[in-house]
Amino acid sequence: MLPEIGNIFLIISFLLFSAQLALSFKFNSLDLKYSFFDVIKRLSFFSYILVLTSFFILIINYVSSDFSVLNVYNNTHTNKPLIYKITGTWGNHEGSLLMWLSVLSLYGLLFLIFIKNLPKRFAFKVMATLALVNLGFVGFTVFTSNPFIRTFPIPSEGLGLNPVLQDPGLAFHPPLLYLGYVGLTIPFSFSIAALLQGEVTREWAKWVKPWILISWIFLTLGITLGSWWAYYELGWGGWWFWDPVENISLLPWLLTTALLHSVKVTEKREGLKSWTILLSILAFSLTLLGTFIVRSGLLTSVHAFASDPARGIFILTFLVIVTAGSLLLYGIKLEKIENKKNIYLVSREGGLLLNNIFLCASAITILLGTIWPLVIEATTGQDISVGAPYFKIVFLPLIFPAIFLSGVSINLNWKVTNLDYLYSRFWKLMIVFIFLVSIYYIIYDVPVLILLGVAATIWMLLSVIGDFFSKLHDKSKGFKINLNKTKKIRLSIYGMYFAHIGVAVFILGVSLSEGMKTYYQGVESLNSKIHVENFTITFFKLDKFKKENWFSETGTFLVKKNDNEFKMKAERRVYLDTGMPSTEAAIKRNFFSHLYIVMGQEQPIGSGKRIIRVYHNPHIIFIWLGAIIMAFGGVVSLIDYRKSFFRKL
Amino acid sequence: MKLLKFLPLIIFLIVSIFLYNKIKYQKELEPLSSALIEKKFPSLKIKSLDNNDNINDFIKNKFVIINIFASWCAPCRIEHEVLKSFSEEYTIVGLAYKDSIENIESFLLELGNPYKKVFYDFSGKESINLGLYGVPETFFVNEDSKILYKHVGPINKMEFKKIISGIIH
Repeated sequence: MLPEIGNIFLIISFLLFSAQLALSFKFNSLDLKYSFFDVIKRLSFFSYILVLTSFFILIINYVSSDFSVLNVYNNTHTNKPLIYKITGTWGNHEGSLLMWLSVLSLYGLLFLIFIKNLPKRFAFKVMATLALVNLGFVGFTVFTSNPFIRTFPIPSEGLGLNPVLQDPGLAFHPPLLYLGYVGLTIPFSFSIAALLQGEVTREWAKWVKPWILISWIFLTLGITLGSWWAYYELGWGGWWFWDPVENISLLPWLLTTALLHSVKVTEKREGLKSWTILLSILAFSLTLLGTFIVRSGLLTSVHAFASDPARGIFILTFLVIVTAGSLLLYGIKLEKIENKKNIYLVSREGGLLLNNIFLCASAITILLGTIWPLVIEATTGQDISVGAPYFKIVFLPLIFPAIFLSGVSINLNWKVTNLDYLYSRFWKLMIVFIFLVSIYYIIYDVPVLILLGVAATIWMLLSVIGDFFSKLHDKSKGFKINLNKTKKIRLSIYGMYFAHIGVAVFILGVSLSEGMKTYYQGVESLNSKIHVENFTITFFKLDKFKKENWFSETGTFLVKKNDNEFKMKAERRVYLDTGMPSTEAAIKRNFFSHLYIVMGQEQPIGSGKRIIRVYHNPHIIFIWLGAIIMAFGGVVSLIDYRKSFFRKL
Repeated sequence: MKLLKFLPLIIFLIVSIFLYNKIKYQKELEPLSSALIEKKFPSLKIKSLDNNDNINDFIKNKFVIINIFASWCAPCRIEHEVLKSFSEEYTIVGLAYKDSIENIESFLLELGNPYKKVFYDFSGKESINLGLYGVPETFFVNEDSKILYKHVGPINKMEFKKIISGIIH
């Protein structure tokens, strides 16, 4: 009975969203005598609740292992621990789509809570846009990817969850990413509403800012977790692979980062209005594009779901309607919303604009690299693939100027145009910067690319420190620093500091780990010795035993570095339900580096020899640490921005 | 200048035409001829998974079908069943392309192993000599190590039989 209820709830919500959309086209919020606005509000509230309920029903089906539901049968097993029964719900195409919808509903409900602070005409248009997006996704779920379809005869046991997904990482990676992607629907809807109104105000920017920030925080965390998960669980031995889907997930992040900066200019200086609107439309469209690419099986990728052309056509149609519609509206209303305000290059807004250009340029190069194979195939019929070397070559030259500029613009004030001011602010910073970089180079004598990365890190940190100290300066008392002023600095400024420190740490991690990593692969017998960097690794012993729901082979390795000796255990699991193997890498962490041992199958069988891969990744932890600091900065700023939710527009 | 306002729209529409094109023709792959046909199988530095054999030595003096696959390649999964059904009759050799050993193992463990021997090209650089287009690809090589035919994309049973009878006659 439950699956039918879930199905019916979805269909009802589809009808309700259609009704809401139709009514919104027909009437204006203030047209009718009774409050039509409240009717629409209740209608969307009710639809959101229905969607959420059907998601909970699917989770219940998973927890109770109801194998009469095809989707449950395909993706779980009775001997899974409870946590993986729950996470199995979104470890497949249909379930994850329903989760996407539920997250959209959560954002919808959150929006409805604060709706009373918005002017009715405006809020009405936001609700209509949200209804359109919801309609598309509910339709997609119900008609092409319904998770509630039954199967008969009822199987007695399920097929099990893909072992790769049986990890705490799966519990949080997709939900966090969805919270980020789906969150972009709100800025998108605000932009469409603003375009329909024909005006973009500073108040609008203030209101939309925290929503952008929420998405950005979740996107940052979601992508970071995915990267960490691939490194730790999948044994890919790296942190970013320029896989098409990874690239597609990075695009909204880059645009949201750009958006976060440009909306600041709209708020403080009423500038870059049309740019801010365009970015929020594009960021949202790119999440749709990402969904399209992942769900249609268009590109070969580790993230690809089972492909089905019908799904592809549906999302493509939806993508074209939403994006082309928005961009058409944008083109029509462009002149109305943009006030021709000059932006001075030597000012914070100028810096932010330049920085924005670099962020968008890097987004464009990634997009180009990702869809280029499609273009080539369509025009010449050839099959090509664009790999990591392309991305490294085009991305690096763009990212360094972006970091340099971001350091500069932190230290500039709004509206300032004076070059003398620039000079007075920067000569001290420059001296310290050059001094530190030279010291580093003299001590370590590293290759150019590492030096460049370290220099970028130092520059970013110095610019934050420089700005912090200048804010502490007591102008009346000369050069003295007044620590009492720390309390006067706004929380959002501290958030910005943290985010930029995060970027610095991230760049440091990337350049050091990429520059210094080492890799070994070979077939080794027991007691043989492997030399990697200054480690001596001995394949010490091999144990076999049975665990909860897998059969385990655990290899123990003695690792010696200088006089320091320790043991590491790498595991190879074969899951009893699916018979599929999975590897658990042995990772030795000190704070900075990882030594990473993966033990493979016996090769050849019966010889007792094992395939062993060893990675040494120095300083790699900084990559994720940096990203987490960025997200932390976002949270700190959000605490400050929360006031905008309660402000009357 | 008026058109400039609609530039994002125009770019987007062009991109969507390509996307539509791709999805429409997703399954139709044309047979491709290779410059290598009727030539000797190139000498490659490709080792077997157990490190014991070189691919050129292994295929000497027998009629072999060399299938290039990867565990990350979705069409290879579909093709796998076809290969299994012919694995008794013919010597099929697997060449894993840009793949890790663990993933190859789990791929074969999950779907079964139709290959007499599995070789691997970890970096993918050696496969360039074969004029690799994309995975999967299947080469039909005769006793003198001459390439008789090359099939691009997943092969189905009908095609497989057709190629074999075409080669024999």
